Amino acid sequence: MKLLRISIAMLLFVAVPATAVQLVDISGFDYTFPVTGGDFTAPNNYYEALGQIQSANGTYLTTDFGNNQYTFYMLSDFIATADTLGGLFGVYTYGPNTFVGLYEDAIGGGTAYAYGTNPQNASAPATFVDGALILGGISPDLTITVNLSTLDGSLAGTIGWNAGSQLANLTGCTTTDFAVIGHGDPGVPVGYVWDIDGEISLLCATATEDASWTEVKELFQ
Amino acid sequence: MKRFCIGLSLVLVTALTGTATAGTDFLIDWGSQGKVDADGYVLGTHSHPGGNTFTLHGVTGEAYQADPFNGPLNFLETGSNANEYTFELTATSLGTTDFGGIHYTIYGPGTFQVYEDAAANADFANPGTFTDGTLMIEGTTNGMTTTINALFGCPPGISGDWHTDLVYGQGGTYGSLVAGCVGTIDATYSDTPCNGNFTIPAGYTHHTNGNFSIEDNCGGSTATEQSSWTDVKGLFR
Repeated sequence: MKLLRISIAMLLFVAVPATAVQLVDISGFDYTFPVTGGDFTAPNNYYEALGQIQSANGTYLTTDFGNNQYTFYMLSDFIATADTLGGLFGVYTYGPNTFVGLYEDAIGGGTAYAYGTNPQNASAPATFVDGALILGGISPDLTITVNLSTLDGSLAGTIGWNAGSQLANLTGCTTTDFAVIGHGDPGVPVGYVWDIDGEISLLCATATEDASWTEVKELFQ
Repeated sequence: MKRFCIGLSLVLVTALTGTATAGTDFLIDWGSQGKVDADGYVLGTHSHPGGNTFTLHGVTGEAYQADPFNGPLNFLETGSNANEYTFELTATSLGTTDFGGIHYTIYGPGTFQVYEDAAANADFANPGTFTDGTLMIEGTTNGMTTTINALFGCPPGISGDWHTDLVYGQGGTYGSLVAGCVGTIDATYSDTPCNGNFTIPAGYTHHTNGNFSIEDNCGGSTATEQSSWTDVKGLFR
């Protein structure tokens, strides 16, 4: 009996700390609407970003890039605060209901995404939000920082996922953050503002695993 | 026979030579696989004192990205290219200015090199693995700046961006495809994980996600295409 107790005690369940991972890598373009031209601060105006998903974390998203195209779309809430710092930087925060969606659409039989010009237009965002919504959520804290000299900038915030066919895959993940750069470029399609590139990341709890005392001790050596 | 000759002459093989335009598109996308060692960086003030070195290391390839290459390097994207593509970029800080929570650093001219390596050995614990393999392209940087937005804490996290102009040089196995072209790097830049949303390995100070871009219609082996005389005339109207 004593032997049995000892053997049970030696089989510990060790919770490994949460692990930060990338969910998707994204690139595309952004615009403001209905007041166009990158007017980030106009009242009752939307900031919108859309594009392609370049890569996805297979642990959390089931994807088939050979047969499907993957796209994303962001639709902001209205402007909440706008500050200018040192005459060089604009910092803009938006209301608590910015929508973010990730979509899957078959290459064969689906509709290829197309940016077109002067969005919103016939193909944007329509060809970025067709197919299946695999993840959808709300960002309560979208923040855009703009260098008012170069007109380059970045956006960041968190996302609470609450919809999509693969929502269950994120069980155990506590937070999602996004970080995206924006680069003004004459090659950007007419009517768009920035060429954007960035990522959406996850913080997920790692599953428990069996370990002996010896293995536990090794973690601290 | 005469009709046949006329038919041939009307189907021209027209080489459309590239001319630089103001637009750019990405050349190499490294996704989230970029880390910066800002030597002497002061995390508490998000400042990079003048005279210290910014060193970027990163890796990409088909194992990392669905679409890692574009433009003159698009031929590297075969669907089965297992090579690893690593890079290093260095520049010297000229100092950081705090604009009320926006920390803005300006850098002097720098250099960059990209390597092609059959060994998939990139490891941030061993910086030498980012400069092994065969030099593929290289060039110089100018006008580089970094921005850290530390106003809003976490969330949304201490976030930012960095940008630099590039001039591609002759060096490297594919240097002839990009030599003389200009471009930019535009990337995210963060010195503090928010909710642990990324990791910064020991020896590095920042996480970065971005790409090398190149001006449109510059470099590469320009493809030929068939055109009728009507099409050619249309180019000059």
